[in-house]
Amino acid sequence: MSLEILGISVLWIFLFGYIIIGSIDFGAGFFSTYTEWSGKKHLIHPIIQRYLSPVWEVTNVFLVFFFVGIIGFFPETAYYYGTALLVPGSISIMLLAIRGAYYAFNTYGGKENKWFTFLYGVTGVLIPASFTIVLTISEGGFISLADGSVSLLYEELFTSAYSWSVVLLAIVSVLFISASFLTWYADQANDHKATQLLRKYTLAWSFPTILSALAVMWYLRQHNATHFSNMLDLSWIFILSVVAFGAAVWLFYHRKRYGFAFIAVVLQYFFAFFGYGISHFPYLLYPHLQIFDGFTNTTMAIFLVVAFVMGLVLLIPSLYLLVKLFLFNKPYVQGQR
Amino acid sequence: MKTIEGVTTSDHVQPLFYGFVALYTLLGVGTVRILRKLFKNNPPEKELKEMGLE
Repeated sequence: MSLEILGISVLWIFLFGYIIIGSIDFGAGFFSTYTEWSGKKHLIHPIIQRYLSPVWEVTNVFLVFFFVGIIGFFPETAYYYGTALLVPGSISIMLLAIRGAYYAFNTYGGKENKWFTFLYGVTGVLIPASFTIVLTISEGGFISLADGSVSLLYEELFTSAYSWSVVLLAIVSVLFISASFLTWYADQANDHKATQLLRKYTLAWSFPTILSALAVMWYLRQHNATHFSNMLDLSWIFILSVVAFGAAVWLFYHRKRYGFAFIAVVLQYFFAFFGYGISHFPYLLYPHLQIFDGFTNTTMAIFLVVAFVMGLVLLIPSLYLLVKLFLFNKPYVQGQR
Repeated sequence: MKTIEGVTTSDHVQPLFYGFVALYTLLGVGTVRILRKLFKNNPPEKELKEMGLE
């Protein structure tokens, strides 16, 4: 395996980790706000509040690692994406700052401010939507290279059906992943009412994920035919994804083994995400930037790979400890501590 | 490479600058308010007493 492929694979794994852990957190914030406005807050608020605080800090580590890695491995990405993403990236960072401030202010401020809670819930949906712009522009056609400077074509971006279908898929996926995890979490806490409500949310958001994924594929075929035909060649991965989805829905529907059901959801996204990534290969940005263009020098690449693998070795056990301490520690989850 | 050669070619730096200034002003005011409230609700004298250090 060449160093380029090793590099992008490690980065893709980090991004996948961020997507799953981030989705749980973003969706939990949205459900917390949604249930407050629909008057069902008392049912799931304790569960969500107990889940939210400690894990949040770890999620951003994945994101920071990803940024450092992509610039380190592929310095050219900074040239193309750095300029194009100045506005959307800054908006994402502002939203993240608001979200982070909510945790601090809400924990130490005591009283809850309804508008701040609302803002917090909305950022849970807006942040993933704004992140998807990266994936959308990587398909090409949204960047102009006129007179040597890169600029993002906002009109094309906002009028493209493909770009909106990706936003839709991101939002629906965040809610589905989050609801399925929280169902498991509530079940662990023996909170039957919360489990029932979250199970309902999970089932409600399950089929929309498949429908919006189909919409993304449909519009991708029109937008970038090469990528679409690469996807068709890899259709077995997407079939595995749908099988995992079917298993998850079957388990949730029959109220069985929520832990396995959540793992099936993770597998569903694992296959889809890697299928997307592999079929995107070798382009980092259609049609300007390939993975082999401007790759960093070999010494740097070897050290980066080593650093990243060490990072994973450090991060995964700490994640495991965190999960043991806060998430699946029976007395803590049930609120006895 | 001089700073002026490395600067972004994007045209939207100014509105984003104002956006960040507004955001950090709000967060700064919020932080000061929260910190004041924290110390008012739980002054150090009280906490020292509770710890049995006074």
